[in-house]
Amino acid sequence: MKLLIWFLLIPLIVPPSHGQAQNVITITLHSAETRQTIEGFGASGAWWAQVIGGWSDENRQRIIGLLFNPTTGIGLTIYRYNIGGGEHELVDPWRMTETFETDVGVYDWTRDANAMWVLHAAHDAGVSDVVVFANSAPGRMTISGRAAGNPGGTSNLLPDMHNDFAQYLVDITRHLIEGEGIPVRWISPINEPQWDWQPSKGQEGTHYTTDEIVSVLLALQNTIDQSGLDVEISAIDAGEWGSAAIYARRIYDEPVLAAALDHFAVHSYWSSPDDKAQFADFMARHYPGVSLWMSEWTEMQQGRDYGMDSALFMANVIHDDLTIGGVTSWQYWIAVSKYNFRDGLIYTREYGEQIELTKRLWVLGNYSRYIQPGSVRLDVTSDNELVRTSAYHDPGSGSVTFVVINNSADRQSIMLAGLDSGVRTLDIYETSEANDLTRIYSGTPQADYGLAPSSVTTFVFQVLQGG
Amino acid sequence: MRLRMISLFVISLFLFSVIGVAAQEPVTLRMSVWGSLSDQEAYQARLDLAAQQFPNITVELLYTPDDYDQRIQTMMAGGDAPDIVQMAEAIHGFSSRGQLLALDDLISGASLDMEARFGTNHLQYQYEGSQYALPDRGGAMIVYYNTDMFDAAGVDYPTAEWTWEDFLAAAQALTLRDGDAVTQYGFAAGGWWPWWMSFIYQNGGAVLDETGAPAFNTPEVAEALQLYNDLVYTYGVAPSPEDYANLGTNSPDPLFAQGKVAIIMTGFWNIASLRDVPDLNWDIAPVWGNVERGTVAFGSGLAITSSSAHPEEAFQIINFLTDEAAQTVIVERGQDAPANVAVLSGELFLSGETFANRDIYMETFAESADAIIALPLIPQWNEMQSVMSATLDEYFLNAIDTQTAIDQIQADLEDLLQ
Repeated sequence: MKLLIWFLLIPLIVPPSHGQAQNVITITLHSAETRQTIEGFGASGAWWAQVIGGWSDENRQRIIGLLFNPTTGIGLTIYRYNIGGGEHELVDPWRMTETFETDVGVYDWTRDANAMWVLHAAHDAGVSDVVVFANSAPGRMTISGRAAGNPGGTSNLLPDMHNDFAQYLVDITRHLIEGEGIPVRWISPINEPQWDWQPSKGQEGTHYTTDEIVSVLLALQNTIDQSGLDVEISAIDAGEWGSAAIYARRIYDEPVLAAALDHFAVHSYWSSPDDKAQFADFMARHYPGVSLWMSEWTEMQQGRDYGMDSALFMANVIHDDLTIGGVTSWQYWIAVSKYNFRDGLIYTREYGEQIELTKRLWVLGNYSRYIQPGSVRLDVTSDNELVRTSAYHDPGSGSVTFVVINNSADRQSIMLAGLDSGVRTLDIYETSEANDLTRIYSGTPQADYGLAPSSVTTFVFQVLQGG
Repeated sequence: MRLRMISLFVISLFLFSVIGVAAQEPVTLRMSVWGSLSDQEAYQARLDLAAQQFPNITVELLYTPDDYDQRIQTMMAGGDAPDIVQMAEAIHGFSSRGQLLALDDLISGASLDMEARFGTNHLQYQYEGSQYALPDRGGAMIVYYNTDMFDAAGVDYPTAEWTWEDFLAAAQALTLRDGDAVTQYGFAAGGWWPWWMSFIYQNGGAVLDETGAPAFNTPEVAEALQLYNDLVYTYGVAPSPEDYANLGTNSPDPLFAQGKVAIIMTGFWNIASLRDVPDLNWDIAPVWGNVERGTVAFGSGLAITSSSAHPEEAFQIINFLTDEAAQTVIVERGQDAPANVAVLSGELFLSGETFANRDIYMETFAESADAIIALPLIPQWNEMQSVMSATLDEYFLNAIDTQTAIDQIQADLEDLLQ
């Protein structure tokens, strides 16, 4: 009987892997090799905020808590608010938007109330940085008269409306900052300009040529300068890494834009690790002062997945973007989804207020909750390609955080080498089939640790106060 | 003695029944493929035929539309490899690591005559003397041209005898402008390796020499790449990467379908894509040459992963899928050129009736056979592609000159292959 009790107690009193018989994988931290400074993790409010914001207070607050609460949720610090173009002729009501504009330069700030509720709630929950982004100008500024693109898939912003569009974005941004108290830091006027956006695609969007992009960005920068607002342009939300150099070259060879745009935003759709390495290298050689953002991604695959399969796939994309692409910010696409697709961190249904959590939510939390803005990525090497690790030093707290992906279907044992000898405590948080960003260990550092099969685990080493 | 005979008979009967039952035990295999949704449907149709032949074997189709090699590598590393995998140029990155099963014993056990079924196509899937895949799909890169544009410009249709001089003259005559804006391109290609690599081999150049050493900084390669970039930046007959982006695409195929370009080079699959495009008149021809003719053979094979728990059943499936009945489905669906020689030379394929709604020059494929270049399918194929495209993508933006590009690639290849 005593023996039985002893065995039952073992999982509670030792680190999760102690005594593994298999080979121990060595992960070595190179703390002198510092990389990019992390600006934060985020998600977009597109397509869900204008619905969820109208839910019952209990349920909408629960969504906000899951996404933005740094203790009980995943602690996202960046929120992307969609400045809608007022497109109302789409099949899917989620993809329709409201525009504040009622006439040229005239706005009704009571519009888009549900999405505005989410924006305020996200800010109240801890979001420190807001990006406002537009997929299209309102219909009055476009060739087709709609915000859902040109039927031919070609450019849709009227040539004489570049300044109007810039003024429209700045007017709304001013209201959000000065009228609503929202910390808007960036305006993103262009989204995936290379694609042939047209109404049949069922969402707002606009194709731009490179000349038009430069023109719109110059108009917006000029309008921002005149406005006195403390905001910057975030551009260009390129649809993929592989063709991003085409746009970066045109933008950063324009002196005004090169001086104003301190980062280039790219999406990780349809992009291989090679694409990321190649573009990161291109930027480092030609425009070394420009950081990279990954500002939109979700797995493009039909069918819902709640489990670790899609969560691990996402973890590897995040890992590649951070370690190969060197991005300073990683922002997910729609945080809440009603679709039969591998998108959304949280699923709901067309009708009702169902809240269905995915492992993707918690895996993003393995990064976002524990890698604080201002943290510096450190080099890490591993002697096993199945176990992929990135590491971060938070200069504010002194903590060192490892995020470790176990891509194998087997349990693995790891040893974390290269940490300095300061007295530390360690907390381990695991997302796996069994756990949802659950703290599975708290105590002193150990010789080795266990990784659950197909899991993502965050190790937070803290210097003890006075230690 | 009699008792012993009876005993042996009973034992034999028992063993036979056990083995017989074991052979009929249900087995589930997983097979991974890439491609479009119509490709997926064609594979499923062929697997449905296989299920009739082997009712005890269930094959689950894993459709992996993007990042195929990387995803397969991850699955293999994670101990979750499919039993059967579609493989192309990257195959020897897998076979050299022992991740694919050498099929030689299974081939001889099945008395499969590789030469008779596949011609020489199977040789590309051999590594260090062993066969690692059965060829499944094939067909050379060919020319597609807009006959209306040729007729309007008074240019003769392309033939296998065309040289670079003929090609450039045609591309210039077929390019139309409205002021500075190009309204019709004579030619369109881009950064995809079969395009620029075929120009290199047409000029007598190579990526690797006959010893396997990098051979990229040669006059032949330089001249080929210079012409390739000049088509865009000097002659203005082909779109630049920026032009593609501004046109809302990253590929010549949609531009051809939209009637914006006169000549493109691509694979068999484009026949099905163009079949139902209204008011587009087109035909096909072999790719041209310069010092010599040169085009790329597209295709893929079916391999068995070395971790498969059911290699015999997996081989039964890939053997069936590459035999005539299942290969005929490829033709019936207009999916691709089949690898099976009997089907490839059969009346159904040569008639073109199942995949083209017009008379097209189907002899193009036979005339392309002797122009196919021997690709350097080394285990580092994917890494080699990465090294080359890293510099060539910048070269095709006209951001670096030809000599800088070929010197950089030569150095990178030497580092890679040292």
